[in-house]
Amino acid sequence: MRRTVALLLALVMVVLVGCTSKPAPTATPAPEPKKDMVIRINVGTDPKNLDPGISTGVPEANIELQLYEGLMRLDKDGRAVPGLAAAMPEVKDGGATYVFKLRDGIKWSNGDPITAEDFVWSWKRALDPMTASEYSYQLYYIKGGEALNTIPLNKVDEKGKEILDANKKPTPRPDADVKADIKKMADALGVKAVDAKTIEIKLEAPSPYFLSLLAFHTLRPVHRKTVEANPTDFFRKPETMVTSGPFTLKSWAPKDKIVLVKNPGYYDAAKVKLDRIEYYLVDNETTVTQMYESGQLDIVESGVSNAELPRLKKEKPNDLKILPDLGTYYYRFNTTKAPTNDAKVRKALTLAIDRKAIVENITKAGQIPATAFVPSGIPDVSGDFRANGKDFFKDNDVEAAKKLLADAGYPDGKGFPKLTILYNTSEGHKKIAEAIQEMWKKNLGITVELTQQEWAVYLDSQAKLNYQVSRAGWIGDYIDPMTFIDMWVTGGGNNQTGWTNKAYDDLVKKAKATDDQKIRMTAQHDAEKILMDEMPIMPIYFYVRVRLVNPKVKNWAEPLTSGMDLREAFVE
Amino acid sequence: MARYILMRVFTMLVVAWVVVTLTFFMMKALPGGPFSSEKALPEAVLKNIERRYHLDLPLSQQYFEYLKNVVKWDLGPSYRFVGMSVNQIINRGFPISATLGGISILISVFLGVPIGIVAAMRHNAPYDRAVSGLAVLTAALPSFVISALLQFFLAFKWHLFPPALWGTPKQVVLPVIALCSFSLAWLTKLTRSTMLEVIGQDYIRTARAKGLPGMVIVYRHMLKNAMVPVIASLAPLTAGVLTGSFIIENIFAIPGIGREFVQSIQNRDYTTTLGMTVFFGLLLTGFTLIGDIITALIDPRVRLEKEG
Repeated sequence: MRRTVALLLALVMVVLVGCTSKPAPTATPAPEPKKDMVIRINVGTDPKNLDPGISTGVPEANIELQLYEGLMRLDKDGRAVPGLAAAMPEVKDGGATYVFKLRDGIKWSNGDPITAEDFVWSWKRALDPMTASEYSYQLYYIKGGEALNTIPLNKVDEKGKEILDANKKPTPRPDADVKADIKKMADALGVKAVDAKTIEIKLEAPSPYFLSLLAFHTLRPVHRKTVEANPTDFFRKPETMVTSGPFTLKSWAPKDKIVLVKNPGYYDAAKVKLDRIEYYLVDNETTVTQMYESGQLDIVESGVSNAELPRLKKEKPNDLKILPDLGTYYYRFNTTKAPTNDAKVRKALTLAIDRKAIVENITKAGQIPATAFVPSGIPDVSGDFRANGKDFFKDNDVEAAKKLLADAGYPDGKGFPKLTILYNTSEGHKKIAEAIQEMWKKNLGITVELTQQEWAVYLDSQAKLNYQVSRAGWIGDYIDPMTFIDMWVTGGGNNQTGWTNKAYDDLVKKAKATDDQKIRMTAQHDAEKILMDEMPIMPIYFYVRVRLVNPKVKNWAEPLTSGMDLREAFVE
Repeated sequence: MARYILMRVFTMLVVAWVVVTLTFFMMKALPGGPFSSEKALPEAVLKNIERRYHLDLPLSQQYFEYLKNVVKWDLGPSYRFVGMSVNQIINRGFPISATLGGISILISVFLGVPIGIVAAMRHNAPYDRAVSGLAVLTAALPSFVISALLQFFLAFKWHLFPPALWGTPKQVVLPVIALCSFSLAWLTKLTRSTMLEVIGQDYIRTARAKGLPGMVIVYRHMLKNAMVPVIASLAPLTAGVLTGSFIIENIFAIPGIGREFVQSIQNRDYTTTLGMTVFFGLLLTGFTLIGDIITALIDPRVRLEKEG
């Protein structure tokens, strides 16, 4: 008996010891002939797809940046420079027509030549309702683009309204009819391959930011033959993934990692130093930070843990990068229901919070208190749009807030109904909401409750105006105030406050109808002023981007609206 | 026996059907859909997508269509991961989760049972007290706390193991420790208490009185009887390990199906959630069935009851 027990115990010990106290390996691996230059980078959630014409997410865009190139690309300062195009385009018709020449001898990663027809086909595909691209509206600037994408799928009357049957259900149109319409509209689309190397693009209206849009992934071409053969999954296997950018796909292990290798056929391959990029797909922030600090990662593009920020600032000052962002963190007010249907109330609430305290004590990464909606970084006619537009109100202006609330009929908050702040479940949003709850209580004497909802539920509540005050954030799509300003037009899909203002709508229309920068910018400044006068939203802070980058990694760039560009990056 | 098993398999299928139906309608009743995003989609774009994924069909039609396909074990395409079917997701992720879970169960059994036996044999000795105390403590600690501690000390501080990901043997160690901690502690406690119960039985005293050697008593008389509840508990234990993997896989960034399942709910990836529910449902009821059959085989009392 003793012996058995002793044996068992010995076994247990051996297993335990074997498991836990293996010393770190000291033997160096055999020297390899030439080590590949590799960057290991965490990009967050597993991409839904890597189809540039369809994808909408951030990780998708970040990886596609290395894989596909468009007519233009963004340089390290965020300026649109020729990509697959040989030079800047010829612009005609007062800014409504662009003519591009392609570079000589450009090739897909499989060796096929890249032609003007590739662009035309790719854009028609992204707009085709059957492709069902979630980002197709990025192509609505092209003449006939919206008409093609919004061909009715159900039977409609002459006014374009759906005809409903007895059960209030629309009747689908026969596939053949829809297809015939698609063919007709696609042929009428304002893009033309004049010859193999010349593309002519007609726009709905002059759009000065069209050049930077051309660098956006939705407008990058895909390889027709492989996409037609594998329409829904060409991007999952290296054999069918044909790319135009500096890198191409080596492997994709879902939920694990995506490996890209250098594309030797890329026109600027001489500038590409990396042999390989390994994108890790880890979304747990604590884990990501641990991985970086244990040397499993060279770059954290997504997932720097906010809780760890103060420590990282102290311990890794050379690795932690705080980059400006083109985005605003704000609260929406429901303008259709009391008490937030009163602009005075909205303004009082906006003035009664201390943004400086929020960014210094809660977000802590160097976010900028927002006293306007459009963030810095957008060029005006001259100078910066934000700097020229100045602040619209004073942060933490409690006196003015009290007065406004009294004017609205609630002196010292007396008789003010209970207010509820809605936010999507997240520790960060919760802390900010709690701080604001406290500030409104202290400064205005009103009672505030908090409600958190899971992401999809929260989006639904917000879209249905099923809230009083709701957390929100917006990251601009392109570098122009319009990406922030046109959100708030009457009935706009991203408005979601019920706010409507005729003068505002007219200013947006005016700015959109011309390419005269002076008129456009003045109209947008005026529009922002109306917005900040009426306050359907309460700006809180301007985002920054927080990254961890090993100081040995050089020459990376991450301009506004772009992911981390590793085209010319290298490791020392 | 055959009739008993047949009945059980039939119940299993009914349970699976109930699970599918409930999950299907509950998922659809949740606000938000697979294509909700912070940037609102134009109405026409949403219509295009709904038509492509047949989400514009009446709910009842979608339901029967889905049931028909499930019977053929075609779980449909994932709404989130374009170009992947739910079958592919399960086929890819399950071997990983099974490895993780399998190793954890094996360690729990092959460590927990001997430790428990020794503790029972040394009832109230310092070894027994230490084991019991440790087991209670480990069972009380949630696995995410254990994971964080493991990551912090063994990976981040001492660099013994990588803190996350999957693929090399070294990467298996931390998640397995985190995942098996509860089942190991629980099995130890269970073995110890059932052994103690058996030790006090008359037939053990008789065996001792007959002068049988200690080893023979332990193996032939004690273990055989003490193991019945332990084996019966393996099925719920496996269930516990499976659900535990939802958390562990997330923390250690392991590409198994537990993580897929949790994320598919957040993503409103209807087909993936449904497919996973069906799969997990069958797996759990299957394990329970196997556990019951084994118990019936080794414990004549159960068999007689069931057949009588």
